[in-house]
Parts: sequence; C-alpha cells; structure tokens
Amino acid sequence: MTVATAPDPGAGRVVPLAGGVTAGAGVPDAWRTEERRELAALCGLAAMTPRRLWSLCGPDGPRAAWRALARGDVRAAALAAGGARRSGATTARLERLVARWHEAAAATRPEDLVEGWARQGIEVLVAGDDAFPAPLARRPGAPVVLWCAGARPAGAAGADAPSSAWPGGGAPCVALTGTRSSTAYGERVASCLAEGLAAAGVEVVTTLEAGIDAAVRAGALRGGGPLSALAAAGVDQRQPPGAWQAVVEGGGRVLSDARVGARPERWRFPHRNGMLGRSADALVVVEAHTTGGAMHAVEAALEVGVAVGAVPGSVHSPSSRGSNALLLDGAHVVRQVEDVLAVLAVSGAPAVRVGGGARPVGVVDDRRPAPDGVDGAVLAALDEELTVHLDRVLAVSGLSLPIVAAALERLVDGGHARRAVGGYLRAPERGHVRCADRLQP
Amino acid sequence: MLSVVRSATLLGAHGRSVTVEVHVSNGLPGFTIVGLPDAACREARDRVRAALLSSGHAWPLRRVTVNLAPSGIRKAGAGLDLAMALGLLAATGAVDGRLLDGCVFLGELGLDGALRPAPGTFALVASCPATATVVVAPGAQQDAVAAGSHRVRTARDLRELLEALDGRRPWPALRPCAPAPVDRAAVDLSSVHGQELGRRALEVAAAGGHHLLLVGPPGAGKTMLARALPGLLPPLGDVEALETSRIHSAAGMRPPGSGLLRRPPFRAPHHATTPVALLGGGTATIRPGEASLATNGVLFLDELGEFPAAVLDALRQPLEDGMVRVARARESVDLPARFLLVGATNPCPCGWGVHAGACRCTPASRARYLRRLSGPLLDRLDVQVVLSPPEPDALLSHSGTPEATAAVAARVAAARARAAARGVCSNAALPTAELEVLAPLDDAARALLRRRLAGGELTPRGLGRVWRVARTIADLDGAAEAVGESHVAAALELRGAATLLRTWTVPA
Ligand SMILES: Nc1ncnc2c1ncn2[C@@H]1O[C@H](COP(=O)(O)OP(=O)(O)O)[C@@H](O)[C@H]1O
Ligand SMILES: [Mg+2]
Ligand SMILES: [Zn+2]
Repeated sequence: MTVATAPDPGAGRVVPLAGGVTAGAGVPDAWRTEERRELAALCGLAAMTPRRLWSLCGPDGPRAAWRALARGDVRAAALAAGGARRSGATTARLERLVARWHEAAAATRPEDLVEGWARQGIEVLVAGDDAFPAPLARRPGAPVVLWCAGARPAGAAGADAPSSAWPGGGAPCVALTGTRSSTAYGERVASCLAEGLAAAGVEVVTTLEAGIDAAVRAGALRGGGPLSALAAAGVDQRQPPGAWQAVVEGGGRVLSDARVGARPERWRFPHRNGMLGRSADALVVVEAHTTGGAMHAVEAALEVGVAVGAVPGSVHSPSSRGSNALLLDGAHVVRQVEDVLAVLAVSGAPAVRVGGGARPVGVVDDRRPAPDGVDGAVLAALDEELTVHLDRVLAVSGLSLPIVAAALERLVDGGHARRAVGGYLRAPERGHVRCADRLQP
Repeated sequence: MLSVVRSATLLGAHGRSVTVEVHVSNGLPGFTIVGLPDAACREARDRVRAALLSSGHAWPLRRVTVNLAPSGIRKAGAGLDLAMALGLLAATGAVDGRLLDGCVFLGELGLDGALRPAPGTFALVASCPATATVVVAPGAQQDAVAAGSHRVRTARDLRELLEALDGRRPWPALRPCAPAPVDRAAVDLSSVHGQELGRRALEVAAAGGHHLLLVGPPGAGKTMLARALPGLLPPLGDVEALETSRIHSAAGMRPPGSGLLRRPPFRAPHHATTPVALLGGGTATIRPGEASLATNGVLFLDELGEFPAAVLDALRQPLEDGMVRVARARESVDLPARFLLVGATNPCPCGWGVHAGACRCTPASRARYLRRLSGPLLDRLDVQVVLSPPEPDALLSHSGTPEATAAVAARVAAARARAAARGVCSNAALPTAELEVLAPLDDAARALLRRRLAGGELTPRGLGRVWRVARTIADLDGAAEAVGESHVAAALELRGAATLLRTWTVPA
C-alpha cells in the first residue's frame, strides 16, 4: 500500500457503490431546498442505489419522480435503459422493485415520512448542507443524504429545513479510528487525541464500534467538541445501543447513510468503514491489526486522497501491526494533537481555531495519598498501559495471594489501579496532565 | 439331586451375591439356565461341558437345570462358570457338596478346565460376606486379597481345585501384590514454572474440594496444571480406596495384579467420549462411566466447550448428588460419582481473548462460544481463574526450582484437617445454613462482599461459593476462626474468570 499516490478526487459524475445513494458532482440546489423531502423519501426507499436514483429523477427532479412512482407511471424498462440496471439485476427483479416502490410511494407522502423521522429525533442531511460533513460531500462516492440522530439544534426551523446549527460546520474534520481489540495504551492515546482535537474545535469522526473508537468517542465528548459517529445500520436501530446512547446523550451525533429501518447487515460494516475514510480532512489510525475495519477506512481514504496518519505502537503487540505498517509505508507519524494539526495544515483543511471555543482544561484533580507499604509494593508491579496478570504481581512482590488481593482491592477502591480483562492496570499518576492542556495558547 | 453353590455377579459398580442352584433329574438330556442370564452367561453350558470332560469328569446324560437366584437381576458374563461346574459335580455326586459350603466361587472356565479371572473380581469379592472363603483364578488373587479381609484361595484349574478342596494337596501359595503402577501423566509442581495464580487455584481446590475452571489461551499450561492436581490430594482412606478400587474393577479398568488403589484417580475423558462412556450405562450390562471412575479423585474435562451440551447438562446430577442414576425398565442402578471437577477452556474461539490487542473475535462469536459451556455447570465451579502463558523469564530462569507437589500437599493436608475438625469432609460441602457459624466473616470481609454484591460483580449464587473458598483460604493461611477481608479478596480473585465469562456471554 502506498500512501503517497492517490487518484484525483471527483473524477466521475456517479460513483456506484454498494448501498447508499451517492451525490456525485453534487446535488442540485433546488433538490436540496425545495424538493428536499421528496429527495429524502426517494433515498429512503428499499434497495435505492445511486444509478436508480439518478435515472428515476432524470431532468425533472425528485418531486416529479415521486409523483410518477405514486401514480405507477414508472416503467422498469425505462429505468433499465437509463442505467438503473446493473449486470446482476434482471428486468423482472427491477419490475418487482418498482412495484414495491410504487406501493410505498402511493401509501405515504414524503412530508409525513420526514415528519415521522423527526418525531424519532432523526434529521435528514443532504450533501451540501452546512451540517453535512463537508469533506465527505466533496468526494466521489458521497451519499446524497445522511440520516442523523442527536445534536439536533434547538428550535430548528423544521424537520425539512436544511440545518445549519451544527457546531462542526466549517470546522476542520479528523477521522480517528482503530481496532475493536485494543490495548490500554491505544485507548489512552485515542482518548487523549480526541479530547485535544475536540477541545481545539476540530470535528472528530469515528464509528460506534468498541475498543479504540469507543475511547475516541469518550475523549471527544470530554473535550466538548463536535463528534460524529458513523453507524452501520439505520440510525433508528440504535446499534450498538450503549454506544449510540452515549453519543446522542453526550451531545454528539450519529450519522448513517443506511435508510431508516436498515438492519446492521454484515456488508454494511465495510461500507461504513469506507465512508469513514472519506468523511474527514485527515484520517488517523491509532491502533490497528493488519486487516480489519480501520484498514478499509485507510484504503478508502487513499483512493480519494485523504491524508492518512498513524500512531506508533509496540512492536510486540499484534494490535499495532497494522498501524506500524502504515508508518512504514509513509503515513504521517502521529504522537500528539499537534502532529494531527500539522497534517491538517498541509492537507488544505480549514484553519484550526486553537483554543477558540474550546473549554479550558486543567490538571486532573485527584489528590490521593500515595500508597506505601504493601500497597505501594503491589502498585509498583502494575503498569499504566500494559495489563499485568496476577502471576506477575505475585511473583514480583513475593507476597501471598490474600495479601496481594486485599492490597489490590484497596488500590482499586482508592483509584490507584483498575481491573481489566486478564489483570490490572495502574491508574494515571496523581497530577497527571490531560493531553489537551498542551493546546492552551 | 440338588446342589447349591455361592457366587456373585456385577450390577453397575457393585457386586451382588448369586446363589447357583443345580438340579439334575431324569428325563431327556438337556441343560437349561434360568434366572436372567445374558448371552455370555447362557454360553456357560458349552464351556462347563468342555472343562468337565478335559478334567476327567463325565457329562451327565440327564436333565440339568441351573437356577441363578435372585432371579430379578441380570447375570452378566462368564464369571459364574466355575460355580455352575462345581454345582453340577456336586449334584451328580462326583464331589461332596459339603466341601463347597462357606465358599464363594468366582471365575470363568477355559475349555481345558483352566480358571480365568472373572471381570470385576474386586467388586465381586467386596460384596461377599466377610466370613466366606473366596476362590478365584490365579490372575485375580491380588484383587481378591485387596478387596477385603476374606480368606482367598486360588487354583490353576478345575482338577487342582478339587484336589485342594478335599485335602489331597495343599492350596497353591498366593502371590504378593505388584507395586502400584506409576502414573506417567502425573505432573509434579516443581516442573511448573511461573503460574503463581494457577498454583494457588490448584492448592485451594485441593484443600477445599472446590471444583475448578481454568481459562486461558492454548499453551498456557491448563492441561499441565490439571494433571498436577491429583498429587495434591491426600491418599485415599480405607473406605475411599475400597470404593474406588471396586468401581475400577467393575468397569474392567484395573490392571491384573494391582492391589488397592491408594492414589486419587485422574480421569480425563476426551470430548468425543459418548455420554454412556462418560456417565455410565450401557445396553447389555450397566457399566460405570468416567464420572464414576473419577470417584474420590479428579474428573478433568479438557476443552470443556467441545463437550456436547447434553453431556455437560447431565453432569449436574453427579455434581449435586454424588451419583449417577441409570434407570431402566427393569432396574435402576445408582453408580457412585463423587469427584473434583476440573474444566479447561479457551476464553474465545481464537483463544487469546484475555490478552488485550491479541483477540479478533467479535463479541457475538465470543458469546456463542461461551454459551456452549452451559451456565448451570459453570455456576457449580467455585474456583475460576484466567491463566496467562508463563513469561519466557519464568520458564528459563534457573534461580531455584518451583515449590514441589509434596510441600504444597502438606499444606493441603493441614487445611483439610482443619475442615475435618469442623465435621465436614471438605469446605466445598459446607451447608449454606451453617456458613455463618462455621465460616464467620469479620466486619471488613462482610463490607467487601456487600460492595461486590451491590456493584453486581458478584451474584447471590456466587456468594456462597466465594464464602466457602474464603474459608478454605483462611484454613490454608492457618488463620483463626473468622474469615478476614484478605481471604475474601483472594477468593474473589480466584473467581475472576467467572465475572469475565458472565459479561462476555451477554454481549453489549
Ligand atoms: N508454567 C509452565 N512451566 C513449564 N512448562 C510449561 C508451563 N506452561 C506450559 N508449559 C509447557 O507447555 C506445554 C503445553 O501446555 P498445556 O498444558 O498443554 O497447555 P494448554 O492445555 O493450556 O493448551 C506443556 O506440556 C509444558 O511442556
Ligand atoms: Mg490443553
Ligand atoms: Zn478470540
């Protein structure tokens, strides 16, 4: 994989992708404003693909297309001639699909659909809206609409009006991602980077997965900045539930190009990961295996010329092999927030308003007496970033299991250590400075 | 003419006395066996006939009826041959019937009249009245001697037996027992490097009779540790030794010539073992399964998740009641099955789930994998630890050998003595109602348990388990009566895998 070369963005009018409906060279302004509801309703039909959408709308636009569907005037043959049929789909299949669309369009009005979504707290973003991730809209393969849950601007003009109150609008945008199977080290770096970037007013984009992405979400929310999390399923599915809720309740938003009601089918995950790679000004891989979702995002980013950075990891850790390999291939080295800002600066993203809008952050105030005696000896065997198995604590301290177990109990209770899968981690030391602190002007 | 000879047959893991009645009368020549003989037993007719003819006796051309009493139980195998032959000789007057009084005859007959060991001789002899003289084949004499305090006699063949019976020649001398075979698969703890937590888990399991689950990646040493467990258990007492030997004998698992089994057995059935072989049963005769063979010892189920769910579920009965009940249309047999269960499993399909950054399994595939372990079974395992492969330094360091099995076994014995003083054979068997009295908690210990219960890390069902394990840890610590905070903390630590597996079984 070479990071240096990437094809020119914006090559074709329509880039057909599996699922989702792509914007290509851009959605005509009239569609985005006057015919917005019809456009959203069309995109929300089952099995709508970019080719099908464009050949449905033709020169007449979404409103005419919806009316034709509702009347039953759309002929599969005409669609096929317009390019809506790809090699796999037979005309018979397309006819069945058109019949289903006709049923749906005859049964509902676009305004009711959009209003129904609004009642569930779901907003429609059309490529070109201020709230629509700008880097994504610029690139080939961008979805025509995104459904969005959370971060709904208070007193928005209406469900069908283009929203403009998203704090991330116009800000530079960084995608942070990594493996689900993360180490404490990776999670710590991820949350520090996300917190620092969010505090600097950079929009952070990631997914709803566990591991690194979970640390990214937590950090970004702590940093108080705009956070967009891409879901693989429809946003109404609230999948996975814990992550979905944390983002929406924490002030972030969940985005998806999967229509409302779409189940989290297997193929949607790589598709979503690809979108992640195209939806920011820079993509930073914190910790990743050589294969997996983060690498899908990297491939997609390189295809459209998004700058890619990676955080160095342990040469022993399987979960750092992918990110280390990216560095070897020439990805930008990311150690701290400033490194990401430097990447943004050279990639032509909007300027960062350092300190602007960010909350002041300070020293973690957790003054606890430093443990001594047995507790001190046990704590000394622990590490902040590598989970230490009890075998090692027992061997290093030379103490008996009851003594060590009681000491660990006190240490966890006092916030000096925490339990992790397969052992214990040392909590960051007293007076530990949050990473975002370095950005204070 | 009627004669009566005593013998015995196998039913499950026990011998049952059988009275062989032979009646010879006028009528058409024939030989009938009644009283539920199985196929092998029915074939006795041909073996007995050939044996009598080769020993210089005549075959009566009269009507012979053999009744095996009690008639309600199935008589299996050829072990009644000898008794039938002697009964026939007595009934025809070729032998003085009074010579047979007070004797129990156990053995098969060869066509040349040779005595062959009856399968399960140990169990058969153990069921004989203590005052009886037991006559067995030379190959079974050690088993017969070890099985009790009976007078044991042996002879090579029918001719020699009859001569010894009527005093024409002395009984052949008995051979001493062969030394118990060395268990080659057993592991001494001095060869286990590192594994501090695993070693503690073994010690506690052995001291308290707590069932054990070892969770870890391939090569972590799960199998190795499990094989070290029998060495930590005290040698079998007289009662246990007899019971275990009897079961092994009934299952045909004893090498001929071995004496009483004094070491706790270690049984490690493969996961492809059939449910019948694991739990006991069978079509013709009811044979003890691996669960019974492990009685008073260790039943090790390696790769627990690979066992069929039905088998794991069926293990709940022996874990609860200490026996397997095999019910048949005609009979229901209880096979003893009291064992220390040790399970070993990977934490997830790839095996590296407890190592941050190493496992790529999805939460769903992990949950699917762990659900196969059967929750009700896991609930019964008191000690559940996550093992990590030893670090290279621990494997290669020559600074001192790890503590040997003998030293740990001494601590286990001392702890077991403390439990015995409380009137229980092991702490795992402490009744819930008596925990407050026999394992009183001090205030700090109580507070710690309350915190964990409130936090949901400990389930109410897990509480009793942790409490008992804490009692054992206190006993190993030589602690005073009350169970302290450190003992409870250690018991919770030794249950760490339980919390992990529970959270993984229900993906977020
Ligand atoms: N702690 C240890 N000390 C010495 N040798 C070990 C240790 N752990 C594992 N080994 C070696 O590795 C081999 C594999 O261990 P095993 O018990 O089969 O692992 P598992 O059952 O967990 O897959 C053992 O036979 C032994 O030779
Ligand atoms: Mg193994
Ligand atoms: Zn795994």
